Amino acid sequence: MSQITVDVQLKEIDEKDVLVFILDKENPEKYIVNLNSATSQLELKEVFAALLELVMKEDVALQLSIENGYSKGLYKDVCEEYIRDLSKEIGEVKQNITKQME
Amino acid sequence: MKIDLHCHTKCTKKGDGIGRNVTKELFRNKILCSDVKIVAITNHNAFDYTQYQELKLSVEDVCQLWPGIEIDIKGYEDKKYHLIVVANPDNVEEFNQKVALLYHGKDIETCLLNIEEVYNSLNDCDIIYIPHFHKKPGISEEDREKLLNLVKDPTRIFGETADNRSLGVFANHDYNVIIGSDVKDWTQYEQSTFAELKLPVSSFSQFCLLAKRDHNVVNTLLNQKRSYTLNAKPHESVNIELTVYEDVNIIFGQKGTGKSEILKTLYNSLNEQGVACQKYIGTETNKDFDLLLKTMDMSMDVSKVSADECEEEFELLQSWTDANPTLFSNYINWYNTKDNNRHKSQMKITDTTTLMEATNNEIELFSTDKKYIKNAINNLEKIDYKHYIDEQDCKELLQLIQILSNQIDKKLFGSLCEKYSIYLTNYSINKIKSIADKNSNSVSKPSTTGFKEFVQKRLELKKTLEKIFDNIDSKEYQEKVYLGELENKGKIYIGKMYRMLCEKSLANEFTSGIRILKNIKRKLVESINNINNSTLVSLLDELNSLCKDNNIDSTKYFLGLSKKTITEDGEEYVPSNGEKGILLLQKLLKSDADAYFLDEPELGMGNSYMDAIIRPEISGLAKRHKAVIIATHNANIAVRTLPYTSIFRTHENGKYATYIGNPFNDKLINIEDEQDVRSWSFESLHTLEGGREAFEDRRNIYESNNGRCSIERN
Repeated sequence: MSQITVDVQLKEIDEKDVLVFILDKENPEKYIVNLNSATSQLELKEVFAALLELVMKEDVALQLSIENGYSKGLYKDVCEEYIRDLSKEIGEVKQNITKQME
Repeated sequence: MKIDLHCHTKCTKKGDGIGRNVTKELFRNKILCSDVKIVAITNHNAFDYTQYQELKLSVEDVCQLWPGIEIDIKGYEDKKYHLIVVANPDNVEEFNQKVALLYHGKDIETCLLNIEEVYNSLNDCDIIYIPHFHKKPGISEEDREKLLNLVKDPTRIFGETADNRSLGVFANHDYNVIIGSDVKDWTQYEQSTFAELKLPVSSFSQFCLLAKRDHNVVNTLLNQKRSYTLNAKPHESVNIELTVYEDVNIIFGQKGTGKSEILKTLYNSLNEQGVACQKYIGTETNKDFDLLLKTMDMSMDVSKVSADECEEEFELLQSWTDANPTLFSNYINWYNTKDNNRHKSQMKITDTTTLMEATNNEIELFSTDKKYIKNAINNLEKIDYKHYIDEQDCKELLQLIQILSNQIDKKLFGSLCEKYSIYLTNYSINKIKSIADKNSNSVSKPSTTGFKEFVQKRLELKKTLEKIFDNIDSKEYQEKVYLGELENKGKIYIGKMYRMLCEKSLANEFTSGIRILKNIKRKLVESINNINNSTLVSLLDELNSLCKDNNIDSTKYFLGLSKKTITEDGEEYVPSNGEKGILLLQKLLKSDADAYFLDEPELGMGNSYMDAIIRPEISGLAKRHKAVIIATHNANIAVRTLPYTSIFRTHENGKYATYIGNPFNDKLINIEDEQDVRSWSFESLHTLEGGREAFEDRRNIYESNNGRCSIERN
């Protein structure tokens, strides 16, 4: 099983702070989470569903990149922490699924 | 009815006491006292025609007198035995002459005849043979065999036992036995042991008919036929009382005389008494056959197809909720307040995340294994090993089982520890965070992004959906129940099919609508296929609504039940209307009951089939002391079964009447007027055969065509 690294970009689109999960290379802006919006939970859920599909098949790692010129320290720090936690959870889930498959 | 087929009326040999001599007055007196209705005069080696006529005249109003003789026979290895020979009284003159010829020039004191000469001389007189049987001087097995080979018809040979007790024992073993008075002193004749006939007979021929019908012509303690006195209603305003026996009871008469109503009401009346009854109605075979193919007797038992009802899983579907991701704003809040309190900043536990909960799979597996090993140990403890293996082997076996048991316990304990330690850890983290937040006016770092819980819940749901789907998919089980046999088709069965919803399923297999079930199944598959999709929640909502609206809370609703008639090799066979009747009738006659009611069983069936197959079945039931009540127009059933009782219905001059009788006394007596007596033979011939002329005509036609038919067949 190969490992896939999913790029997660922190950037600003239309003056909104967003996290873009590049889960679909043909449509890189399919999974966008608006960090300033109250509906971000629903957007995250879409991301989780896509991640789960991927995790079932591959080992997945997340890599955060911050767009050049992005300057909001708070979001940078929080996103770094968030992606680190999410990566950790993806690892645990994968381990659990592998165990169940044995 | 008492019968005495071994009766001495004179002292003919030295051994006979003078007490055997009887006057006609004493004879009449004693016959009246004893209430014997048939007597055969069987003196030793002699027949006195004059005395026979004299005695016959003296009792002709109270008793039948049959001619006979008790002969000394030289049997196998020169062993002597006594043989009573009784002739049809219609042939008494011939019998008298033949006996005289047989003993001509012989000394009746000493002469011993052989069985062949007796048979050759007397058999033409229509004879029944009664050798002493287990009574001195008795017939040997070899001689019995010889007699049987000569006479050929076993119903013409009876054995005379020494006493009533032996009579009962032999009769119970299906021997053809009887007992006579063998009177030695006429002054005490009434104290003799007499046989009691099962049914009264009015002639020698009818006695032979009774013997042909039933090995045991006499009642014994065990073979007595029970009777039921029942109310019958040929019409709702008419109530008559009828007695039916644990034997064949025939209801016959012209059409429209209320036979079916009588049968129906007798059935209800007997059923009410708690007697197990079975009913066959010739005019309702189609309806009854359709009923047979209904699935009411099949239960929606999914274990038949090795499936689980999945009730818990259906409940889980209804209560399942998705796990939502942690709000991103919680991370922002944490970040914004994390430096509010110096002490809290040092409290790094408030920055930790929770652990992923262990699944229950291992715990379930180890728990099941623990149950198995516990049961195995319990069962093994019941075995006394000493009988099979030595002490050392026994010790090793127990040790190994103990090791296995300990290992299972250890694994189970480990899994439980893991599960609960994670639970306690997560609980502690969350608790500490909550307290620290309150006391420091800050927000701790979220314990999880929500991804773990999201995956966990989705995987649990997938497992649940898959379990339901596996249990309703392509499972089937077939049972076949023997129904009967059809000529050229062989054995026919009712094939019972238990089948989970599939492509071949038909709507009438299910109590719930097949379209709804198919829809639910489709939604199940869609949900499984979209388990990682964000549309899952709406799909599941639709699935749950469908289940809830149609009360589907178990896989049992997906179990289709159907029945069809099949041949031995499982091919479907749809019987014709006549064949349906045949199968239903066979099924009924094979079923276990105490009473069987058949209304016009002959409808739609061939006469030869009725006579060759159904009539012997009916006679077989009668032999097993079952009450068989048949309303019929079929002569083979009404006559050739030799019914115990015939109930004859008439409608003449605007009046209905009911007569009761049987073929053995050849009488049918009006139940409302004992003086109104008809001949059973005449009425049977008239009603069932269309009268003597029609009957004779048919016979003549058959006989005259017999040669031609044979030629054509050849």
